Amino acid sequence: MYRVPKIKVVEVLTLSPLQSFNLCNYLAEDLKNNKSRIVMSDNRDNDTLTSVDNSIGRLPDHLLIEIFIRVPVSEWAQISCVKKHWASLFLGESLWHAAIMRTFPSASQAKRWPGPIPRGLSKRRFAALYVSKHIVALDDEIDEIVGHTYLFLKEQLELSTLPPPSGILHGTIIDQFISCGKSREVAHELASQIWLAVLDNLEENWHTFLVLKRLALEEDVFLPFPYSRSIKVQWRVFEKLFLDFRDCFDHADFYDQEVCTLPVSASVALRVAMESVALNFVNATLNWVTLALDAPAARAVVFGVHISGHLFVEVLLLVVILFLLSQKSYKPPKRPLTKKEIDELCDEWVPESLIPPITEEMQSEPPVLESAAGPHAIVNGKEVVNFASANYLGLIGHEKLLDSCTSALEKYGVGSCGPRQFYGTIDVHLDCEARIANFLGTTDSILYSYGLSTMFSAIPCFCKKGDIIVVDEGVHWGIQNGLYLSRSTIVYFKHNDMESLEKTLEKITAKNQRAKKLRRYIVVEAVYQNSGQIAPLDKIIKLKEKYRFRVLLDESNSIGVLGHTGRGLTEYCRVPIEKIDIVTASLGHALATEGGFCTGSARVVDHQRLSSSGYVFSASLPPYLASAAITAIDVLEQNPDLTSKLKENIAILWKGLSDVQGLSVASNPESPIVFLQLKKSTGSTKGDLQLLEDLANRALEEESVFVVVSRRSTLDKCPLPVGIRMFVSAAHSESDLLKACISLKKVAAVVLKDHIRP
Amino acid sequence: MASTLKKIILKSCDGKILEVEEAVAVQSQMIKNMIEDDCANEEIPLPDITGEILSMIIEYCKMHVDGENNSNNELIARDADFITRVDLNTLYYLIVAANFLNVKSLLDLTCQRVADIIKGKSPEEIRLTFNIKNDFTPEEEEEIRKKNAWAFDYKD
Repeated sequence: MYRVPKIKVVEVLTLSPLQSFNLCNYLAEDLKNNKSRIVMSDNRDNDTLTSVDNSIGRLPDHLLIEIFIRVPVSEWAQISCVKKHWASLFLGESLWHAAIMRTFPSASQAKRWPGPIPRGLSKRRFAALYVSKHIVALDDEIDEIVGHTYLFLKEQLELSTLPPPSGILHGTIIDQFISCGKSREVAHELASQIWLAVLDNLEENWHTFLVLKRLALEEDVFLPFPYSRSIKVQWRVFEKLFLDFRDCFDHADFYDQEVCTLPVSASVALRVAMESVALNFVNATLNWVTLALDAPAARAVVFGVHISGHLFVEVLLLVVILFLLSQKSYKPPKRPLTKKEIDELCDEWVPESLIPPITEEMQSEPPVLESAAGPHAIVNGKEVVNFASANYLGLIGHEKLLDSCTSALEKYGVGSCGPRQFYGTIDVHLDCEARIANFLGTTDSILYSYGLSTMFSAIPCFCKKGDIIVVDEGVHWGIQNGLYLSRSTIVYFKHNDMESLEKTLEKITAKNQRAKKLRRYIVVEAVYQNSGQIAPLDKIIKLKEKYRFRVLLDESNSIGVLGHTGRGLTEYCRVPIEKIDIVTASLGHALATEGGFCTGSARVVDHQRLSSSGYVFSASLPPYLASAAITAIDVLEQNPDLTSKLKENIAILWKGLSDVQGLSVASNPESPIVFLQLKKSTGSTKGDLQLLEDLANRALEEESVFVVVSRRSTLDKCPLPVGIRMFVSAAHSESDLLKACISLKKVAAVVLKDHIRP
Repeated sequence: MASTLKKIILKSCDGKILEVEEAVAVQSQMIKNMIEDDCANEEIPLPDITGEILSMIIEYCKMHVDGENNSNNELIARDADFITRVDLNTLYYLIVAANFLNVKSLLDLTCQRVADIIKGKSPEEIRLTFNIKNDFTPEEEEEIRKKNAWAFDYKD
């Protein structure tokens, strides 16, 4: 008897969500009808007798909904109060869904979107669509996301007790628009409109007042374009505060607001005025200004008796403004350059040279060795006595070193092909580090692949910007470069002058209270390569302890040379090595290999393993060199007579050269570097250099004695006078030394003849 | 579909039989579906719909079929005329029937009519109009009102 209307399966499949929703309701309703029909048929007479007007209330839910959604939204509150059942309809999803279908048919197609602001249930969607249509009206186009954004912002401002900073809210909105595919400009424009709409629609209550106050007092954080809040919005906040909420301010509040927002609102006013001078903005400004002027006047009771602090602030601001106004501002000519002027400028422009101009004296051809750099070498096919190589112990060509190198070469090959931390560590490296530490009596040491880079890696590794380094003015270029790279504050003291050092330390610590908080270093060389002087380490240690500095000592020319067993300056001065914080040295001099090492406490060494650029970034020392260094130390330890022989040689040469005409020995009597200086300078470094070079050339050509002048690079900033630098070796025989003395005397007499006489 | 003159026979719950032209009958989506499914060859029983209501609905459908050529405004005027003649009780049955027969425009019209009646009335007036018993306490009512208040007032 009763039939459910049939719907083709195909139709069901092609139904839109709306249709399928209706269908479900429909079927459910039919079932209900069916039941009620049975009931009805039982008491039909009764039914007809019921009050006629009762019927509407009995309509099934979906029909009630159909009716409700035809009533204006503003009356829905009334409807919901009629009956509990009706109220429950307004809590359900279906009413709002149907309302969306009816009022905003296009919205049913809308897909979900990405981004921070969610879509929510139908009720919220309906509200959003409603807002989008009626409140943020945009060219008749209803954009659901606009409504959702509005709701989001309004809720954040109204409902939360402490709304997040406006920058975050604004950023969220912008992000939402951008993730919905809007351009940055559109996003910014929409966001501003939403802000304005929300501000206009905030309820006028105390909470809103607090929110607005917070917005006004927020600091202006600079953000890039779409994320910056629009000026209009900021202005609306002030406008609302000072017009709609002016009664809410108490005195203290007003003062607070006034002082804090004065710069902000002034800048806002300026920017708004620049953008467009809308009439209501001007009105608001006027209102605000009168308000601002009224209040302080009311409180300044009697002159000198009761004047509030903000008057002083205002006067101060006024003075600053007047001062700024009185300053003449620089205005570059606004006219663009003509083509001719541009051409002229282009023609006139000469790029700065990448290198300094090369002068004649720079062009020298150094002698070339054609054999090993032992005590005797071959230069230009002629055997000469070699005083130009820092082969202090005569280990060049030493049988044991050669053997050690050969076996290491056969075992490991030549290079290590990797930095220490990246598979470039070979057992000999560890052995060598342990051997050096063991030899010098320290806990650990670290190997560098290149002697020079030891200093200019180790120094920046410990000394950073802001630290203070007190350094001898005569240090060699490797240290100079390290100091430069460290970007620390560098203070020089007079070469090897302990009084000067003490004064400098005194000045730094006394004058500068902050210095106590900084890291402070003294950097010295054991034997100065540029002068042959030996640093008085015991005095330095005393000063260091007095003024609380750390000491970095370069032992490149003293390892294997100074001290009974060649352990360097610490042994020579009888200072325990623990007193020195950092010791660096090159392996390329006395030990006759190549590379460098740094030693000190385990912490000092470990720090370098991750922080020292020369160690971290360059391939490790070739294994055979490490092996040779181990052997060199072994040889040194097994032959203590090497150092005593060297000392003898130094003494012989020193004595022999002490009475050369026109020259004086400037170096320390125990230094392996014997440094000859002109007794009387020509007055210019250039002239001195010329004379000394003539002398060296003659000595080489006429007397077969190979000596060199301490010619320095243009980069080297060392201020010490130039001279002839002779490296004494333990391998020199007595006759070599005597020959050198005699030859130099002879040559000096000839070359310096003119120089000495006047 | 051979001819538009084919008659559909409808039977109301109180036994009244009405013959309707197919063109008029297909205004009801339900009957249209039945015709397509070939179930409409015999008489179609319509439970719950009295003869009186059925004939009103058929009148309405006829009006729409005939008025297809007329202007929209005229049709709206006729609709309004049709609906104002109906009292509340009939309106209820019309809604139920329109829903059952799935006559979309009639359902729309009737629901709109009820909505118009509701419009502008206080809850008490609505209760009186429809003879609904109030099952709220005053506090509950106030709370519900607050909860459902439409927060977006705009000026047109």
